Amino acid sequence: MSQEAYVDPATAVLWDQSHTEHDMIATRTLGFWLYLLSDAMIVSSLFASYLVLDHRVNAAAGPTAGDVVHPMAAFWGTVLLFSAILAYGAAMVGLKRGNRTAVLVGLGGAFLLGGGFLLAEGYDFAQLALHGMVPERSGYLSAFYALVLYHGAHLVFGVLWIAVMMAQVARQGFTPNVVYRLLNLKLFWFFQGFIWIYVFSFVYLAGALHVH
Amino acid sequence: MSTEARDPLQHPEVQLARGGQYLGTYIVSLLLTGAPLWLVVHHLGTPLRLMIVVVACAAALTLIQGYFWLRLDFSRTQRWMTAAFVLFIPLFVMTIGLTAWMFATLYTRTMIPTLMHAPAFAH
Repeated sequence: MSQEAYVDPATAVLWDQSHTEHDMIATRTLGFWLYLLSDAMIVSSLFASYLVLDHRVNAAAGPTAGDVVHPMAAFWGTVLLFSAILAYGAAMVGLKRGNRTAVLVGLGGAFLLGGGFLLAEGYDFAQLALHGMVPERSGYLSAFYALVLYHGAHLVFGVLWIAVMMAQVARQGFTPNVVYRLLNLKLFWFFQGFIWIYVFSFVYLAGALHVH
Repeated sequence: MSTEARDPLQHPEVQLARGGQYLGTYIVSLLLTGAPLWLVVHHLGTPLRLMIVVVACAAALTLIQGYFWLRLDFSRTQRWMTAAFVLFIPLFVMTIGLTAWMFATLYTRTMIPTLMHAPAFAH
C-alpha cells in the first residue's frame, strides 16, 4: 500500500517567497531584455512594411523617400541621441561608484539630450505635415511615419522614465529596486540607439540614395 | 544570500560600467554614421556601392554598440542576454527578409509595366 504525504492546500507553500539564493536584479534585467527583444520584433515588422511600401507605386503620385527624408537633419538627431546615451553611460559610471550626484547629473543630461532629439524630430515631422506630407497621403508615408515615430514614441517614454528615476534616486538612494530599475532603463535607453542605427541607415541614408 | 542583499552597487551588472568604453563607442558611432552620410550627401559613388557602405557601417555599429554599450559578451553575467540576442537575430532577419522576398516581384507581376519604369512622381 502506497503512502501519500498529506499537504493541506490551505497552508501549502508552493514556492519560496524570499529571494534566497536568487539574484533578483539579474532575473529582472534578463526578463526586461527579453521584453525589449519582443518589442524589436514589432520594429522588424515595421521595417518589413517600410521596405515593401518604399516604392513609387505606393507613393500615390505623391512624395517618395527622396522627397521626404533629410539625412543631414537626421544626423544632428543622431548626435543628440548618441550623446544622450553617453550621458546615461556617465550616470552608470556614477552608480558604480555610488555617487548620487553623478547619477543625477548623468540622468539630467540624458533627459535634456533625449528631449532635444524629440524636439528636432518633432520639428522635422511638423515641416512634413505643413507641406502636405501626412500619413494618410500614401502608403509610403504611412509606413514612414509609423516606423520613425514608433522609435520616437519609445524615446518619449524613455525621457519620462528618466525623470521618474531621477526622483527615485534623489528620494530613495540606491536601494535594490532603484538599482534594478536603473539597469533596466539603461538597457532600454541604449537599445533605442541600437534601433536608430537601422532607422538612420535604411530610412534616411538609403532614402537619400533612393535605391529600389 | 542573494547578491542584492549584500549591496546592490556591487552587483556584476552595475560593475560593468566603463566610462572609457562608453566614450570610445560614442566617438566611433558618430564616425560610422557621419562617414556614410558624407559619402551619400556628396554622391561619392554609385548608389549600389554607397548602399554597400551604408550596410557595412550599420553592421559594424551593431557589433560595436552591442559589445561596448549593451555589453553583449560571454561573461557569466551577460551570457544569457547574449544568447537571447543571438537567437533573436534570425527572427529579425527572417521577418524582414522573407517579407521582402515575398513582395520582391509583386509589382512587376501585378502592376502596369509602364508604371513600373516611369520616373518617380514629383509632387
